[in-house]
Amino acid sequence: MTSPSPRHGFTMIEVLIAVALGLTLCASVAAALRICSQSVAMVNRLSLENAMMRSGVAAALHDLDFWESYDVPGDPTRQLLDAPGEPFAALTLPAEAHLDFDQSDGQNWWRGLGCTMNRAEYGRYAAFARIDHPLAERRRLALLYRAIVDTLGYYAFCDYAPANTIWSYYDASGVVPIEFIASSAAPKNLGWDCGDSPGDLLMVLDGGAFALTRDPWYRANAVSHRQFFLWGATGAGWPAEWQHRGLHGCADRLATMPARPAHWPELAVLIRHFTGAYRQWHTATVTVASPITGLRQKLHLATTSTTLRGARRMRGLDREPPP
Amino acid sequence: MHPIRPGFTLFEIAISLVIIAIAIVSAGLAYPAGIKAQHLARFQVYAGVKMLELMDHWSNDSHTRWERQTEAERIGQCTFMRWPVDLDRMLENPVLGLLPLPHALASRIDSDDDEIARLLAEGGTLFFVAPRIYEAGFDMRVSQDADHEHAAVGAESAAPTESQTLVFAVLGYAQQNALPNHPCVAWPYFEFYPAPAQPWERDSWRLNAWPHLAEFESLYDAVNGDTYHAKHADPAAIDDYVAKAAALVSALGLPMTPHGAIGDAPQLPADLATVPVPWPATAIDAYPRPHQVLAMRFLAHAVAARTGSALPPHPDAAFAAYADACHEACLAWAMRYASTSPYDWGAPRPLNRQTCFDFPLLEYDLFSPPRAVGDGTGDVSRPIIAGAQPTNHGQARGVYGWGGSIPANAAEIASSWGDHAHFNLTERFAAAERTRRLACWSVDWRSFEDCESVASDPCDANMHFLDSRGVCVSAERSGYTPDLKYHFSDATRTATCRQIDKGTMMSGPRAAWDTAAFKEAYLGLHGADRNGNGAFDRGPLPASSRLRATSVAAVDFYDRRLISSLRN
Repeated sequence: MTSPSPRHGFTMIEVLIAVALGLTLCASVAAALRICSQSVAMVNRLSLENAMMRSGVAAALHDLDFWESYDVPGDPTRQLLDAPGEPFAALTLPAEAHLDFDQSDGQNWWRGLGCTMNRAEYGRYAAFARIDHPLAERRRLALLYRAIVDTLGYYAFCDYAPANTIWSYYDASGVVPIEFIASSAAPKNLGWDCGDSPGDLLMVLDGGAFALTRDPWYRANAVSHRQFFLWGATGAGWPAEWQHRGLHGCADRLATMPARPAHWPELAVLIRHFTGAYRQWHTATVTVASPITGLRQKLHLATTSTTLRGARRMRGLDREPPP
Repeated sequence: MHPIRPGFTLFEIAISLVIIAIAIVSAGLAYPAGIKAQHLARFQVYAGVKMLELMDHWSNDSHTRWERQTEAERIGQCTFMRWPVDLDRMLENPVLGLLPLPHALASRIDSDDDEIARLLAEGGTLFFVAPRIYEAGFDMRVSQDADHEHAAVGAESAAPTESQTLVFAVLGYAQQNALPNHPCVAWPYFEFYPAPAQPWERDSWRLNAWPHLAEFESLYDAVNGDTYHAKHADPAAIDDYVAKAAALVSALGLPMTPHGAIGDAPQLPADLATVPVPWPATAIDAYPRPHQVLAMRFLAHAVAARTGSALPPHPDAAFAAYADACHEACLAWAMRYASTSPYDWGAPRPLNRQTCFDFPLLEYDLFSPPRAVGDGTGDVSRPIIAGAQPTNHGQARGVYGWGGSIPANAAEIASSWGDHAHFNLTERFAAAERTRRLACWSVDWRSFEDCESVASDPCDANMHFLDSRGVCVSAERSGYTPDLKYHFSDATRTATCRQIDKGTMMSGPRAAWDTAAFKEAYLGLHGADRNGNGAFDRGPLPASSRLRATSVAAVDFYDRRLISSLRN
């Protein structure tokens, strides 16, 4: 008779080793899972933030180019700056005032006293050109300047006028309008930096700047007909809040992803169009803020985008007289 | 009998565990790769935005020349000749948001195809993102000015910390650029038309031996730019001014139209379509002479001055029509002269008719031997060449530092010319000749232990406000080293450098400029607070180690040779 073979169990040492190996395995897997989970979360977060950043940049570039946050063609409810005196108002030019600044054409020559003080005691230069001069070619520039300034504002005037424009003309009474010269009676006006001599864009922008915005507060304070001082918005004639907010307050916020989930990063896009420091600027600030970490990533960009005149021509807002 | 069912051996289990561990670790390693890819994607966004901005600034340069030296007595002395047309030269201006990475750090960075090493070996520069950047534009004059910077058009804000790991460079060879103007005379000079005679116009009349100097001198003595204001309400003086201006115009033999008893007014130039082609050099209607243009400007000014309200009305009612005729002739001849004679520098260009096309094309003659400046500095300069030989140039009209006017230098200008046959600014070119690349990499150079203690690199001497002779020729706030405001002010590295004279050039020379302490701080010999945190930092990597840069983005662009701007 043979006895049945003994059924060996694990020895204690085997069990201990097996348990140890098992625990090691579990720990490794748990750690790996945790790392993987964190990695996935980080990748997802980075991916989401990057996507938000890209969409913010794309939105900024699009709006800087097409100006749709100011004026949406075909949608009167979103044409925010189309009132008379604002940059997207319809402009109907007087018969003499083509938007043509060809310097080989005598009708585009500025006629005035520029060398010292632009006053009649030094010569009646208004006899050579003024806004109601009998000759059409001698009243053309004045009519053009007046139409752009009155209808569209100062930023638009900077945009439309070539850099060599002399910012002055004579009105019907033979004097330069107060709007085009420095005057305490009209502070921060178009010619505020020029003294009583005519200046060009370079002179006007020596410390001055012009901007447009759809900010209601600025519009109520006639931002389209005011000049900023770049090196500190201080001085007489400035609304108190204007001094505080300055040119930076003219940035306009784009509506970006209003229906985003609450845990998504917050995207903010600010855009600015202004003329200052001797050139035109079209800039944007794109900010992505994490609701979890509170970290804010801020990007600044400037681009050579469509001018206001170009945006207006896209919309057919400039009605020139027949040639 | 039941067969024995052998279990796994411990060795087998161990092998299995190793396999599983390898699988898990491999999977785990894949996730950091994903993170790295996302970081790269973010860097590409940063780089793309920065490149857009750089291209915008480069193509819309404001060209402001405030407070900069623009002309000097001799060639080789004018610091304005470095006026940036090349993008990498423009990047040396800190307002664009990049700062030069010292070569000591840049040379420890490896890159694909050794692009960075080759760039440095050929004299190029690697730029890193400045710790603080302008949010909405900048004004070059006040960008260094602590009193202004926070109120300026674009107050600074901190750049994303991780963006500082981006480094940029311009690859490919720069073209030889046009000069902004002749180094000894900042042409074009401008003047309103009409206007009285200016002192430098008298100099030009004499220097160029223009005819009828006596009539001009008589006119100049009667009224000129310095005396007009005092005489403008004196009827006798202004009548004398009118008479002498009319006499000068008449003496020059210009075609005139009678205006009754008042006198003759110049006729308008003939329509160019009526002048036989090619226009003869002697055809006044095509190529009016500068002294003729000046004479008509003086006459138009004199006659207009006679209409001033400070004087009694002219007794002849037709005087207004005469004034109008003189004024129109003045403008028409000046415009004709400016259009057809870009290399005639005798009469100033009309301020009331500035165009970007009225800048003569000048360049250094690189194929003629350099010439010694001869001012004791040992400096040399290449001669100047142009599209045509400039004529009637006169001399410099500016001042030199605080030392008064630039000495008469007409002879220096006359001897400055090289071989105009070498002029090539208007030659045809292949696209490849004008193509350069703006490249961006990612590398955390801040990891080096000496990332902030390494001295800043020397930069082009023409960037500084002092010239080779130590004279302040530009405002301190306009000419400075690129990362000046991040330079540590002394060896303790507890404070950063501040400019001494933040104003214009009106304050006179500063004794402090000539001290060793100022020079050390100004040149960045104590290093710089390159991450902008206000403290001296050290990275974990020894200076002997190397880092590898990851390529992020690159764009090709057209490398222009002329100073220009898409819009201003």
